[in-house]
Amino acid sequence: MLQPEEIKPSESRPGRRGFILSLGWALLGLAFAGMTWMSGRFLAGSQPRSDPEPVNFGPPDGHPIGSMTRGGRVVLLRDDTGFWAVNAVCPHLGCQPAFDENRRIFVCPCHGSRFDPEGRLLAGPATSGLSLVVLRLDAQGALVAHPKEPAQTGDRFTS
Amino acid sequence: MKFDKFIEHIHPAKISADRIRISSTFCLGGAAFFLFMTLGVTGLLLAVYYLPSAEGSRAALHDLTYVIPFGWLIRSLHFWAGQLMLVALLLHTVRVVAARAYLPPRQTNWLIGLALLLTTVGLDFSGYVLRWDSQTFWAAQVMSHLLGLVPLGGRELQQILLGGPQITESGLLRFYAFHCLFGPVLCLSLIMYHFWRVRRDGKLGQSL
Repeated sequence: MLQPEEIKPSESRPGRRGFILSLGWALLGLAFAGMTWMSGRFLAGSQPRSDPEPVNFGPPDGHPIGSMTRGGRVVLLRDDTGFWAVNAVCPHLGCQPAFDENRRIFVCPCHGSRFDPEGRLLAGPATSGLSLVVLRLDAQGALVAHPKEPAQTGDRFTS
Repeated sequence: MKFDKFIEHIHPAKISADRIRISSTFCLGGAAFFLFMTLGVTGLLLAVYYLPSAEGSRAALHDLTYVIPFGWLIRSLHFWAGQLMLVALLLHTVRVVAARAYLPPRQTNWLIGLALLLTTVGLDFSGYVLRWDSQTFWAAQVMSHLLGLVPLGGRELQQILLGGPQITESGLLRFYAFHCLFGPVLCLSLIMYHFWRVRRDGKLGQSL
């Protein structure tokens, strides 16, 4: 029969419990260091790209009269008087209205606000129209929309 | 070790050995507190990017998900910690009811706990509204409409919450202020009092 002294943890393997504890703390420290590093990266961030960038629509000749071309959040339209570009972001809650080519109106998928092809409000819940953006030709002769620069209703780009 | 001393001191001064076992409380309140701290840290990080406006929240959510390094991770951690905190608190409440710990001398702490549960639900809901897409917009709409139906003071409460009869961007700002300031400060104050009462009232994990 074993005597109590014989089943006590022997001197030959001291602190197994201590070792596991240290290992646990080390892993916790490692996780903490990782989280700190990720938080640093998060806070340093990168240039947020939500700022609307200019949209390149290619050469004007590629867009026949009556056509509609979507480039990101900008929609390029053309009729017999020229080109104009609509910033298709609903002023209600920021959804992206789609252009219905049959009815020739913008319809917001979120709450059904409607706008005419020049962005004027037809039906709510939005309380204002879509904004128009400036169109310019770049050095390569491509038509570029500049979402940061608002245009007036009725403005046309003619090539 | 320092940590052991902390565990000792957060418990009542007198406690029987079997009550300090994890199975007597399952540390559900502790789990909820850990999640609350996680929410605090991730929330502070998210606050750096979030803007309480229709266009601002849309842009911030886009950037957090696709542009900012680990933005998706911080946001997911915040979301899941919020959901799990509510689960932990509900289980905590069930355990307290099962132990009949709402009876004297712990009745005050039971009420503090209920206030904490309500505050957490409020924080959860206001955080959801901050997404400000069509889903959460309508959720806020429905919720505020229900509040307006409460007899005696429902309309006033709705007015205080939304800043007007309709939910608009100024309503979003109020949800934001509650989610980032009033809610957490209230929650933390109640938590501190709650913990102190656990120690003072004694009988931790004890059924009556």
